[in-house]
Amino acid sequence: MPELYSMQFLLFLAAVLICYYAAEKLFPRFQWVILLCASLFFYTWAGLPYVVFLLAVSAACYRASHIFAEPGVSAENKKRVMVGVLLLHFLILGLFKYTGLFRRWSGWVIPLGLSYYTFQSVSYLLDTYNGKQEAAGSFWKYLLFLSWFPQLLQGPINRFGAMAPQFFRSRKFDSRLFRKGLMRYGYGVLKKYAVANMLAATVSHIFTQVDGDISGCVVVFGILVYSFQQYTDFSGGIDMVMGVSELFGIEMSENFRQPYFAVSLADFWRRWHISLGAWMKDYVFYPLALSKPMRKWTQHLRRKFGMQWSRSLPAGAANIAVFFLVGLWHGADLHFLVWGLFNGLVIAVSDCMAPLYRKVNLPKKGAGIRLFRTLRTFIIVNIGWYFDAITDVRDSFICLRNTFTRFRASAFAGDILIYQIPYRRENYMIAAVALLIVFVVSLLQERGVDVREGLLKKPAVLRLCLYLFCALLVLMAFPFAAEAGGFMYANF
Amino acid sequence: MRISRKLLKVLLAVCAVVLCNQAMDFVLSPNYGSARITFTELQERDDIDMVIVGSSLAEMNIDPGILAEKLGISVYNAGTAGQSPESTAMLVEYLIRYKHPKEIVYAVNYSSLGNLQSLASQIAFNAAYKDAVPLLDDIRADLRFFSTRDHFRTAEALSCWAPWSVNHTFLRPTEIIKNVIEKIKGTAPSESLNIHSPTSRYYNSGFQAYDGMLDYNDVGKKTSIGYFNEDFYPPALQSLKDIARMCRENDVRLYVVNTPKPVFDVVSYGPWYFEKMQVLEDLFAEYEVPYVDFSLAVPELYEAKEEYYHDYDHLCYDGAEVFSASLAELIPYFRSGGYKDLFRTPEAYLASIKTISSVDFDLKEASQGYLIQAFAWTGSNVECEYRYLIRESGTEEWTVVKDFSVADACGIQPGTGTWDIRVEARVKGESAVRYYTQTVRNYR
Repeated sequence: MPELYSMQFLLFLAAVLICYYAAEKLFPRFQWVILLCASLFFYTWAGLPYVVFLLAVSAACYRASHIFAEPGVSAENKKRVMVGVLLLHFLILGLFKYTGLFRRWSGWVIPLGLSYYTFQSVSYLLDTYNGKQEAAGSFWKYLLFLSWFPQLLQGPINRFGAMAPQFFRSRKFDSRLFRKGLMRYGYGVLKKYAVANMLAATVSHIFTQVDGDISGCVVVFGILVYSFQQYTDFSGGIDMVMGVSELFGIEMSENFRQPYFAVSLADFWRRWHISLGAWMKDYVFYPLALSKPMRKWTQHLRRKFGMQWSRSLPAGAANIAVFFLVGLWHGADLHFLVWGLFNGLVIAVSDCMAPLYRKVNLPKKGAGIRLFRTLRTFIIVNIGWYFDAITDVRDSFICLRNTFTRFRASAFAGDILIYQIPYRRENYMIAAVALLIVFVVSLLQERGVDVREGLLKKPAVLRLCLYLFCALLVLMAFPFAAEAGGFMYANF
Repeated sequence: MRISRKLLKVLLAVCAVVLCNQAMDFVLSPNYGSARITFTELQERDDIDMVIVGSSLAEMNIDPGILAEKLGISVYNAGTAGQSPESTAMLVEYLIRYKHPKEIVYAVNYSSLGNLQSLASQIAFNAAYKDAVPLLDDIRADLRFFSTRDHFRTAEALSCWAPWSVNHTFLRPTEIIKNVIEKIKGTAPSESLNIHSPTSRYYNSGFQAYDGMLDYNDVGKKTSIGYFNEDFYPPALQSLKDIARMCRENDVRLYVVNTPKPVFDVVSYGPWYFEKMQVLEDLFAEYEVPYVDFSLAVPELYEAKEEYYHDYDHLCYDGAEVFSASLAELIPYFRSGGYKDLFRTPEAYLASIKTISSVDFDLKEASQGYLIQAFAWTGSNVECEYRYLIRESGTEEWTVVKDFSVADACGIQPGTGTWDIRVEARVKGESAVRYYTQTVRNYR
């Protein structure tokens, strides 16, 4: 699989861009065929046999969507087809992602983008089944939706309805959009290489050597570093693929919206991995919350406890189920499930306690209360990261306990040496400067500023200086990036 | 009109980027870089009979001054830090085309031939090479760079167009200012090296050597097998063939020398080391190129003393002097073909070792405490005794867990805390001891 910032990928990208915009002059109606060919070519990089699974999922789903549209097919048969195809999707996903035995037996690795295209395909299947989405005009068009190469690496989970109109119309080269795409790609490179890679070894060295004596201050340092590393790694990767997609004039679903400015955990999840959250809301939360047993339970609660509980308890239960699945989506490891349940529980409990907050009558507006709520949410999110960053749940609890009982702030300088982090001062300096840029950009975006548009209006010299400074940070980062590795969300 | 204005803007932006890159290169690329020294000096020399090529094994281990004096010819050491076989192939091509040497000595050993090579060194080599060749070769160098190793597929490799980002002077304001001043003043790169390098000194004709001797009680896992334990990298072997072929086609005599290593480093590989070295010997035999492993040299040619080594790969200055004299003695044998009698078989070499070179031990968690498995790196006929000691970290007093015996394993049960564990080894019946110490945190 090619690295998103490499000579191999850049040459591939340049070739596809030239072909794509040349095709607009030669055969504009079939411009999208270039994208399909490029996507399939890209996919074969990860291994030719894996294309079989992509084709199987696409073919089954595409055929099912046309069966749903056929007038003579009974509702029962449509349901059977829908369930059958749904099972096929989850069977392939389950085999690869949750049964190590199958992978060991077959010698195969998880196919590139499996989780992402499975979820995309399921959303299309259910939308066409429910009549919310028309069936795709041709199999090849549907295949392009699933195999669109920028999304295969780490998402986002796109919807057919939003992507199809963009894919299948002829598109002229738009230099403004192109420059914005380049800017976003470059911003992603900055996040990934000048921040995430600078911090990766700190996290791995601390949390792979957890013992009962680990200082709380070291744990907190590790978790804080992890929260920045993970955000810049994942959102940086997403910025890069979104930027690449925008070079073709195609905008994918947003996956991040300044998550660390969230004022509650529920708000955080509306800003973090948005496309997964939206998918869960549409295809798990609502179907569950509106299911027959849940409606019955709601009615029962309304009679017994009143309106508030009849709303918050079923919603809380649905949230716990959703976040259990979010944890499971990340992997069949206990720590992911605990992390998912933690998030579900916090959201459910805070929803149940909403009347209490109202009684306390805290001010709803103002910078102070906003800052308080943001910090509170940041702390809660970081408590959750104890179960995400640390892969052994027992170690997570040891770290959590030591955070409160064995903090030892004064011994930090000595204690951190034990973990032999192969980093120098330069790592943290580069990461800190790049993080400052990310913070300023995020702050502007939070205030509704279109940063890229604004930047394009600035004098060319100023822009060039800014780009060069960011390039400098990225280039200076490479020699210090020990043990950085690939993208964290690239194997889903 | 609009298009030409846009084009002008793009051109201006490209020029600005190139200028900035050049400026950063001037400020940060070290004046004293190993490859920079080599290519700067090579450009000034047109009288070279013999060139020494290879990584730091060549650069730090072979004194061309001694070879020149003993052989009565002109010798230059073109070894550079981390020079990969692919880079050596480029260098040999350059030498044959521009410098016409009659003989080339290629210094290799196990660490030269794995997949793990320093990217920074390769980028620094590429940058220095590009400065020394015409534009067309410059482009070819980049194409070659991206077609070797994983450079086409990795992010870091794109830094080759900004070599200063991976190969820079110490990032301290004083060092950067010194570097700039030296470049403005035109200080010779070799002179700069002596100002900046804390561990090595430049002597003559591309040769620099390390100060300081290896501490044999601090070796543990710091052996070359700890870093280079994989199979030989096939493209590296292909480069060796290319080097041999180029030399044969251009009537340049090539001698391949596996530089001497301390005993522990050879022995820690087990039989693997000699099997792999046989691969090299067979490869070069195809091209009728002499290949020798100096670790196997008879004492009359090179007597390996422990104090000659700076680390597992490099000799210190005294060692390099002795080794270079031995190499000078060997060259006439290379020319005449009678060199094989000066090297022993692996079995004879292993049987000749009578002392313990270094000690290492593995520490495995057991149901109660830890199990220590000790290894003394020595010859095939040496019987060893081990002693096991422990102390709480930060204290002075050692407690003997198990006194000297032939048992190479021992269980220990430290209490909660941080502990230093030491294994001592000696040849049975002798008093000289080698040891190694590890620290363990026990909070189970």
